[in-house]
Amino acid sequence: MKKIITLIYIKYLIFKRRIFKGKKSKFSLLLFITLFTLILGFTFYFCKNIFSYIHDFDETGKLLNLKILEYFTIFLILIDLLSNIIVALNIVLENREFSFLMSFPLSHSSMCMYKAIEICFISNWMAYIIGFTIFISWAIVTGLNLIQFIIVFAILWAFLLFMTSLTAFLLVQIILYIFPIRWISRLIHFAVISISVSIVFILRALKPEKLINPDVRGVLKNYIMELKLPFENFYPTHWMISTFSGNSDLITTIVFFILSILILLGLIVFTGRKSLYRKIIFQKKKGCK
Amino acid sequence: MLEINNISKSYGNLKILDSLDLKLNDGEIYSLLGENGSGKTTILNLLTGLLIPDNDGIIKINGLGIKDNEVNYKKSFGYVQATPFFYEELTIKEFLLFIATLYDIDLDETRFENLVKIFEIDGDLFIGNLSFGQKQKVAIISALIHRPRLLILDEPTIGLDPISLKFFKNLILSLKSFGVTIIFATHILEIAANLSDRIGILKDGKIYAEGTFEELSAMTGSKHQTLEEIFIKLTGGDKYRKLLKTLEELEKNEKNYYSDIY
Repeated sequence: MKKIITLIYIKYLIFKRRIFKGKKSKFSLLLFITLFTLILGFTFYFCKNIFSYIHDFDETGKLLNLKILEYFTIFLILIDLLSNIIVALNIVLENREFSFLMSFPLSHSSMCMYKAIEICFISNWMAYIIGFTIFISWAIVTGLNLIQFIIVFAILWAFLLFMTSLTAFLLVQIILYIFPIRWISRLIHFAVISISVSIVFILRALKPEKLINPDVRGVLKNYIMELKLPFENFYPTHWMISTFSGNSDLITTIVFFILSILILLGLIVFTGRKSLYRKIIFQKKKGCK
Repeated sequence: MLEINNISKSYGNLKILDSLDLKLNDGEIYSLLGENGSGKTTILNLLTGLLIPDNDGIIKINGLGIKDNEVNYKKSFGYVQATPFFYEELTIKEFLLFIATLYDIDLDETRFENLVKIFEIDGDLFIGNLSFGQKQKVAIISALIHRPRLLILDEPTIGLDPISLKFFKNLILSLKSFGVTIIFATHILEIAANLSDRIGILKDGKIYAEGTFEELSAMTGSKHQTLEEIFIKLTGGDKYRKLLKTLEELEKNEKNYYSDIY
């Protein structure tokens, strides 16, 4: 554990020095913070107005807000998963630090845990902040106890994103174990196309044609109430939204935790495969020959 | 000290090492020579656990194999890569403290001061600001920080200036006097000839020829040769013999083999 903490501290030190090194870096940082704050401010303002507008439509509005939030979360998690996969691939394949550390007396599991944490930090910080902004705007509109909401959301959202990172790390290990390295770029293209297609299918699954009805106001409420994606109860995002809306059921919670345990078990099994990283180094060498 | 028995390694269809055997005694300096792609770095990567053999061959350092206890096995040697990796944003002191943590040792102030004094570097400098030779020194310190009995060096003299090279040669000989066993891969034959107790020449995945400089010279059947001549005679085969013959003939006729280039 001491070694993992040292490694994380070293990364923090490097990150800090890279950011604050020289006037140019400080200016870039300032510019980035300004732009980021503006984007967040705009996101907050925009979402609050939208949620507030929809919220005013009696019960239907509240339901619709929840659905919007749920589908936004699914979208964000999918994008975040892809980002995690790309970062994980980059870290495992391109990073010379990996082979550097492998020649030191660092246990394989420690190194994998350190890399999983690194992937999680690099990929998720933005999704975390953006998600926070949008959910806070919803919580304000809904009139929830803000402090309580912030605490619960911070924990749940962090847990969800961490699980996304672990899933990505697991997927990367499986991909590298099965496919040759030269296929990776093709696989990423395939993943991007698949995610785009899944988003189209998700929208299609919502069956918006039901809304083309003369008696749209009556239909709308039924439509929103019946809005369900395939296997929706198995989505971790559904579990999170149900928790906030007070509709959480035991089955969803159990399903989510079983999924989490399966991901963790998968990681333990795969990170235990020391041959995987040697295979990667071997494949890289083979590519050079 | 080091024992390698029946190790084979291939990259795809390309066989790099074929049932290789190698044994190093305590306090011995052993250099690995071979053409590019002959498997020098592969041997060192197998030793350090970066690669695993294709077969059930054995690699043991002081009787301990990597499968027995990976962490303890890796503590038993120091390794300097051909192009070492560094955290450029750290100072030398921070980097060495970090390496000491990886080896589960406490790097006290006195030892740190002694090391940087011996290697003539300023511990407060950022690694990113160091020259190549200075970085190489930091890599060697980090390999020696836990006082290993075996030092593994991959092309340690690449890019070193004459002063750094002289420093490196003296260091290797001093380490030998402390009983440290050293194995290194190199293309610089002068380094191998001057420093090594034994030289191993790799060819076709095996140690093709092995011995002291004199023993290798005797294998070629002629005396007063440089290691370069010995190396070419032993490993070159017909291709190199033909090239040498052509060069000799052209020299006799006062013609330049490369004249067609310009």
